[in-house]
Order: sequence, then structure tokens, then C-alpha cells
Amino acid sequence: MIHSSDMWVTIGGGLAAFFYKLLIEELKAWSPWITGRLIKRAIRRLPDDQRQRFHEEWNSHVNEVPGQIGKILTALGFVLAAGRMKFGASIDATDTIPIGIMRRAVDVVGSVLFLIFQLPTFLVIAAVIRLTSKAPVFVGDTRVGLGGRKFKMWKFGGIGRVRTFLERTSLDLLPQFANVLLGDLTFIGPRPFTPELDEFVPKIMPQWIERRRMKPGLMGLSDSGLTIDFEVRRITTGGDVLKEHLTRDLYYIKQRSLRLDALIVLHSVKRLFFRE
Amino acid sequence: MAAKEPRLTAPTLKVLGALMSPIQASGAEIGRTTNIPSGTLYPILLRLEDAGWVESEWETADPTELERPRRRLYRITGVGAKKTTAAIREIALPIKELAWQ
Repeated sequence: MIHSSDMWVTIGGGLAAFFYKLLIEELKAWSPWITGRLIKRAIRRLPDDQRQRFHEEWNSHVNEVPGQIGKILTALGFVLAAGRMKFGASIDATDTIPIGIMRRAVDVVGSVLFLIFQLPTFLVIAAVIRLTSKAPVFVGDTRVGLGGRKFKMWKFGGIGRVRTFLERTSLDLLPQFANVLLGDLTFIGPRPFTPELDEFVPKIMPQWIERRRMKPGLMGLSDSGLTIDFEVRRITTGGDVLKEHLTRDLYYIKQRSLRLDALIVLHSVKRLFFRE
Repeated sequence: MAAKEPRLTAPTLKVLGALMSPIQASGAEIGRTTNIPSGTLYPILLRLEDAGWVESEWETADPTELERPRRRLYRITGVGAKKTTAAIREIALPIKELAWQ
């Protein structure tokens, strides 16, 4: 039983790999359905006399796009396109949905999908933690959210090798998707600080208060990686790194755009998989 | 339809540029050559069509024979080609002047 946690990590890894394979198969099977639904949704936003044409045209467009994810993204684009298309003499009154509601909708849909698809991973990790220790499966860290409100940010617990493994792979941060669903976090935004850091920072950088006006996120510009928690630990010791971090967050708050969000996601994912 | 002049944004010029060669292209093809995502592409195509710069039609082949849905093919019109050339010249001119200074 000396290296039992090693064994469990190996078994857990194997199981996770198996589930990922299943997941990819699932995505392949579901992709035409998702794409079809998105196109239908887009078509519904068009005036009656245009529906026939774009239904056919967009189905044919998606047909020309290679790859399942590419197809889904293209179909998602049609929904946006349909909202932006103005037909004939139609009025300029835009019926666009307020950006705040859009973001929340993306958060809810995204986190629900993620949690469903990652359920196997969650179960495997929870089982490994349970079987190797008496430690709780989830632990909550207090963080400061929108408007200075405190909330519990969830993480996987575990001790010893399991803990190290989860931290090294950032898998311990997966439960934060539940925080996104609960509305404590959004997908992209400055990382939430601990109450101590939140109190300390305005003393060295008064503009920092700005940050509380925004909901913290799962991924932020200043870190572009789910590994931020280690960085927060590191930067508390050095003022300069901290200042740079804060400047970047403030930049994000001012320059926030879909393009910037997309860049952050790409960079974060890249960093998560290929550590520099 | 009211031929309102379309605003010549960078993506709009890219779309026009892609259509300047005398071939027809589907939305997917234009998207590929210009690297413009579908969400931006179709509003542009529609605006250009409304203004009469671009026209579109279904491909003539039978979809049951092709075993795929029909594609809608876009082509630049005479007016569109003239306006695009003029617009490009207008943009290129100040750049050339700058180069000589």
C-alpha cells in the first residue's frame, strides 16, 4: 500500500484517457445535430422571405467546412450573422441583445456543457481522492468577486501525490466551472483575489478599485492560464511583478472585446497544454 | 432596392478583392480565401448585394446528383468592379504620394 496513490493516479489517468476517446466519438456523433440546431436558430432570426434561401445556402456552406469543430463554429457565426443582417428598407433599430446578457448566456451554456462533458473526469478524480485519503473531494477558497462580494471558489482537494499531480496538471481547478455556472465567475476576466490581496493591493495601486466593478473570470489576460493561483502566490512576494499584473488587468477592463477574449482563450489553452 | 453605398471597411474590401477575379465563389470559398468568419461575411455579402455591387445565384447542377446541398455562388457586377477599382485607387493614391515625399 506504500505507493497506492501512484497506482490510483495511473488507473485514473487510464480511465480518463478512455473517457476522452468516448467524448471525441460523442462530439462526432453530436456535431451534425448541434450544427443543424444552430442553423435553425440563425434562420429564425431572418425575415420569412429570406429563410428558404439561407437555410439552403448555410447548410451547403457548413458542408464545405472541414472538421466537426469548424462546422460548429461556422454555424455559430450564422447566428451572429443573422442578427447583423439588415434586409431591404428595414429600419436601423438594432435588436441586438445587451452584451451583459450575452456574456451570462455564454457562461451558463458553456459551463453546463463543460460540466456534462467532464463528468467522467470529475468522477475519476473524486474517486481517486476518496480512495487515497480521507480529505474532502472539494475545497472552497474564499475569493473576492463582483462589487467586493466574497464567494467560495471551488477546487479539488486531495493530499500528497494526488494533490501534486492535480496541481501540476491544473486539474484541481476544474470545479471552477461550477463557479461560472453559479455566477461567481465569468469565463474571461481578471482572476479573483484572496481577501488579503484585495485589501493590500489598493494601498499600492489605488486604481485597483476599478477591478471590483467587473466580475472575475476563469481566465484572465494577466495570466492567460488556469495556473494563475500559483502565480498569485508568487507575486504576493514581489511588488513589481504584481504591478505589472495589475496593469494588464486594468488594460483588459478598458479594452475588453470579443477579439481580446478569443486571444486570451487561445493563449490560455496553449499554455495549459504546452507549458513554456 | 435602395442602392445605398456600402461602407468600405477592411473586410468589405477583402470580400470585393476576392471576387474581383472573374470566377464565381460560394460563401464558404470567400470565407476561406479572405479568412473572414461566417458571422462577419454574410452581413457584408448581403449589403453588397443590396447595393448591386455583387449578385448571387444557385449553382445549376442537380443536388441529388452532387450528393450535397446546392451552393449559392457570388459574382461581382460591372458596377461593383468599377466601384472597387475606384475605391482601391483612392486608397492607394495617398500611400503613393507619401512614398514620394
